[in-house]
Amino acid sequence: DIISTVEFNYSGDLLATGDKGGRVVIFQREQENKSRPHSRGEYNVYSTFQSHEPEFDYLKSLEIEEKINKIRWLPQQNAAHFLLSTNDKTIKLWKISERDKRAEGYNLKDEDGRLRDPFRITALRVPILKPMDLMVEASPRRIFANAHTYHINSISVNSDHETYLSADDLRINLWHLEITDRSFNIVDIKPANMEELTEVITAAEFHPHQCNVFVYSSSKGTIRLCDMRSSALCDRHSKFFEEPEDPSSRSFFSEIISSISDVKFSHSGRYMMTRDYLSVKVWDLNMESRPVETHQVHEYLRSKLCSLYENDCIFDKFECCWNGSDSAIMTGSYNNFFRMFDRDTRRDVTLEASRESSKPRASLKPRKVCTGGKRRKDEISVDSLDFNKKILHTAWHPVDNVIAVAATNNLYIFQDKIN
Amino acid sequence: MPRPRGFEQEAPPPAREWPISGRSARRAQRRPFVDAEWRSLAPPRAVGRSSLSGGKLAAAAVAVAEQRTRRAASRVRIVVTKAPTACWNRGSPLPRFSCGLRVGRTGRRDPDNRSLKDTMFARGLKRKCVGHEEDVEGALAGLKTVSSYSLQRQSLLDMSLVKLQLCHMLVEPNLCRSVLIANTVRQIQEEMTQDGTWRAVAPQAAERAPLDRLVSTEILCRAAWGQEGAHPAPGLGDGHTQGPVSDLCPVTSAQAPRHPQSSAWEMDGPRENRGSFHKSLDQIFETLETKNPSCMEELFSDVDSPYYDLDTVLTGMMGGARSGPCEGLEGLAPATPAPSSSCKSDLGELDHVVEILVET
Repeated sequence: DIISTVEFNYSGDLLATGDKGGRVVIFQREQENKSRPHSRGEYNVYSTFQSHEPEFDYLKSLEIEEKINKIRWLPQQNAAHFLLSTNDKTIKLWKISERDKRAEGYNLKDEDGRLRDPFRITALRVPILKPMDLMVEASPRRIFANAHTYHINSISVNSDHETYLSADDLRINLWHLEITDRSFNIVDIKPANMEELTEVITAAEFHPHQCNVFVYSSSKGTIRLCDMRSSALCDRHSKFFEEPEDPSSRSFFSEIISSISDVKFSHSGRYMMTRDYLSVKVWDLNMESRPVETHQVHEYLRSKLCSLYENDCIFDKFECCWNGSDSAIMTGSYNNFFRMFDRDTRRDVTLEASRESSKPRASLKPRKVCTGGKRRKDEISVDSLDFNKKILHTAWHPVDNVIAVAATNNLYIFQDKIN
Repeated sequence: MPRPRGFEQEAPPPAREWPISGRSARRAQRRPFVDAEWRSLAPPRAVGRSSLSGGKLAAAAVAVAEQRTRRAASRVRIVVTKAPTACWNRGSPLPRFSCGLRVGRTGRRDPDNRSLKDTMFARGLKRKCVGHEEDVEGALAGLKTVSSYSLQRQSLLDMSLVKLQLCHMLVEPNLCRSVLIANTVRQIQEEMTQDGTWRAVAPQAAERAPLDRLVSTEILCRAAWGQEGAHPAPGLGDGHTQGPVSDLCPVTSAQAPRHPQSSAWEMDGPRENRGSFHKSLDQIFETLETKNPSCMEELFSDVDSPYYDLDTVLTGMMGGARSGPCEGLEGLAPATPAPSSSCKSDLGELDHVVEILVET
């Protein structure tokens, strides 16, 4: 099924993917062992479970998709792993735990589970825990429902590890992980008259270190940073990030391509990155007037905007991610291409995630899109790009140079070549 | 959705001097309805660069009129009423486009009723007319960009309206997408009202009965505004608060049992807005000022000239179109549970031990 979200956990050992059918598949990294030195860091399926089911809203006569929009891991506090997964309306907290021991030697029941006749018991014994094949169980521990009228697009766990926010098109709610029947509305941009609606929330995230700070991006290309200490309802922003529009490049599509599809804080908390249709921008939280870096992802599409509008590709929501040291950023594009930008060396590369071009352990070959004129060998022209093959979701390991790229219904995991 | 019939029955206007070349004037005269649409708005000015915006837009009016002659009515009809909602898959862009083509191919071809492909997009219009209108375009060589811009803008508007109207039936439409399309429509609307202003303030326009002008502006803007309540351009303040989206969904109400967008946007009754729609358009045309022609040049530079290469771009995208039955139906089928690890009990290690102790 089509993968709709990819997320590494805090240690990077687990990689969770959610798909359009409401399933979550978790991969675990193999431990290094001496017998297979080359299998360092291979990810194998650890657990699969059905997170969300399709629902029907009887009041509106509308179906609620079971597609997983976002998965966010909680920091690990004991042997079990916890993650939040959400579809359009409901957020669920899942506990993933391992069971590798089994008790044997019950008194009241046989090994196969049948109850023993009490009168037949002549002696007592203490059950012994014996190892068994590893079984990974996923159980829903909390269900946070009925708090969103519109479609949830983001969830973000707070640095206090007790609260998290969920954002839909017009509102952001703050939840406590233990409390499911109450949530606090902290942002509400719904106008009194819905006909005056011109802007929606597209993404939201908590600051990685300051538990009172979060940002949310809008469809008009603006980012608002809010401080929850200032007021209960954070409709008034503390900081407002917007790049002034370049009047020479104004067109009917300017607003649509300026709509921010993803916002991510850097690990350091000093910067944040936003993805709009054609570029990725890095912002310094201390400077609201313009981004400190702008990286063009697929500028060659600027002349094709009308066609992309026609086939709805212009509304695709690409995500972006930082690497562990905040020195590189990555985002996806069309034709199964994804782009990486090195902030230090100012170099960028286009890579392709496809079966044909990536054999195991072979290096990915950089790809190039030819924008016009003579097409060199190995280049691909803009007109032969496949706009159905889009990479919307990517994730970078929090520590190592391992990346996960979701190409429609395939997941590719690449890592640094070990010399 | 009642068909807009008013303009079909309009009486032809008296013949007027038309400043363009003889052949096109004769062609224009053969279709008085179209003449009425354009003449009432275009002041008689000499063609050529010297007359700046007036001449350019007059020529544009003629050029577009030529291309719209047989299709204005049918185009409007198709855009507004024949949107094949049933054919369109949820969330799949390419089948949407091909479904538009299918309308034409299913054989509904009256002389008036061109295929959707021909009428909806400037690409189809321009290609079909290249052979016929070469002479016209030769005369208007320097003004070709003007007409192509208007055409493209009009096509963009049509496309946007169709996108908004085709609400998905089973699932709530994406609010962000709808808002962005609506903002685009508003932007085009504002620009078109600013462009069209000087036509409204032309001297002979004042002579005409208000009803004629109403009808003609309706023709001009029919596909542009569709069923929208008029959106006041900035600075007007005529008190109309109806946003452009308020009337869009009722277009499909005849076909759809409900308004999927009403959950996203609250709708007012569309019918009562119709009267105010005409009136406010009138006001807009009266009070707006002429747009600075140099701005238009700037805008032309943004025009997607590759837009006419729609075919070539889309041929690259045609492969792998998501087709098949509506995904909504598939989604309603019960999902099979995951075969493994769907553990019912939520016992941790400690609970497990407790259970063992309790058992004994």
